[in-house]
Amino acid sequence: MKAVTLMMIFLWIVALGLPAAVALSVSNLLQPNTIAFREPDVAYADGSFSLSGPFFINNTGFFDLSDVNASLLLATQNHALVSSYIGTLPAAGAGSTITSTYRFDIPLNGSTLHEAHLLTESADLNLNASLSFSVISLITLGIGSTFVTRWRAPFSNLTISNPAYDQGTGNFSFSVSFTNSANFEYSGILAVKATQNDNQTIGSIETTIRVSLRTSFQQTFVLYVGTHPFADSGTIEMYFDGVEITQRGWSLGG
Amino acid sequence: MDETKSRRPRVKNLLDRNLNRIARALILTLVLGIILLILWVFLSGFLASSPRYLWLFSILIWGLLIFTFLGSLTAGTIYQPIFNIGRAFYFIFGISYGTNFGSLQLTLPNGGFVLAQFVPILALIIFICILDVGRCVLQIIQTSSYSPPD
Repeated sequence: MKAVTLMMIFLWIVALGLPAAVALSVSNLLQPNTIAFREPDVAYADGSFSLSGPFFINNTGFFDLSDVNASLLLATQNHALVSSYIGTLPAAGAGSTITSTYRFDIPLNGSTLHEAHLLTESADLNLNASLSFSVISLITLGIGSTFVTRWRAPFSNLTISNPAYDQGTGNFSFSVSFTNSANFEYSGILAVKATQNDNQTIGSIETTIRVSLRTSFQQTFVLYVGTHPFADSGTIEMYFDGVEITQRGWSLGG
Repeated sequence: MDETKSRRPRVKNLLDRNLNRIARALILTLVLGIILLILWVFLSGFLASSPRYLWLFSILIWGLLIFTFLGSLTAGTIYQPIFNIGRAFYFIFGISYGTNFGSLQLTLPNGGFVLAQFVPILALIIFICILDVGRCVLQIIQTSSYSPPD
């Protein structure tokens, strides 16, 4: 009976001491500058925006961390997922630092970009960052937090204005302007297509553009439509690298 | 009326005879209570944003204190292992339910969260409690099979 009692005392010490030691070790990880995500570099290439940057975990605790998984979810304020990153990292021994790189790829034709008007309107996005790991293979811990990051639209303040029809020359003209609020430069083919209100195509035109960061783009497009009867309203569609950016109505009266 | 009068000395005698036992049970419960109070203060810092866990933990503590008091009060009798078995099962169910079967999720004030999964540790605690139950069953058998010398 005494042996059982002694064994129970020993097991109680293990069962209570182990979580306490792990909690003490992990509390070191919650100190500043032990887990950090650096500012991402943003770029546009091959029809996709990419955000990538380094992050590191400095294991200042006294237990090894294994099965380290990092997850980043970028979502709108309405919880619509824009992009995600899930990565597995190597084990972090006590006192060591592991570094890795996260990367978001946001295709230009992604549905969330369009539904949330993120191509034309800047918005606050939620970045849900979480990290999970096992300590001595007995306790699994996950920590996570939500940050707000600013998405700057590459086609912000987009306006299609001054539609005009010159009966003398048979030209239909309009102006397109927008500002690249994003922190990166992009280049590609900008196409505009004008239709009349009966969905009859008036014409389309393509041009290659390069818009530097924080600069405005403005151009007047002229389409020859001839002198046949011409409606006084319709729509103008704008595409960038084959992806529709916007569709706006036009009216000669205003 | 007479019956009530005759009961009073009997209760007084019972209290006098068991005063030491009651005092010992109170002191033991008090010591355990202080240890759990320190643990409570330590945990309440972590669990401040999750009042549900604090509430469950307080129920667990009060139950443990009651069982400890009753177990100490009945020390040396056959009732002690019975109360200890009750305490072990109460602790198994309390800690399993209170920790969501070894998976705690705490929401932090800044919108973050901490998730802790400690199923192996919970299994170890349950194993210890079952070991305690086994020990108590042996005690009951020992006590009930004890025959006083002629």
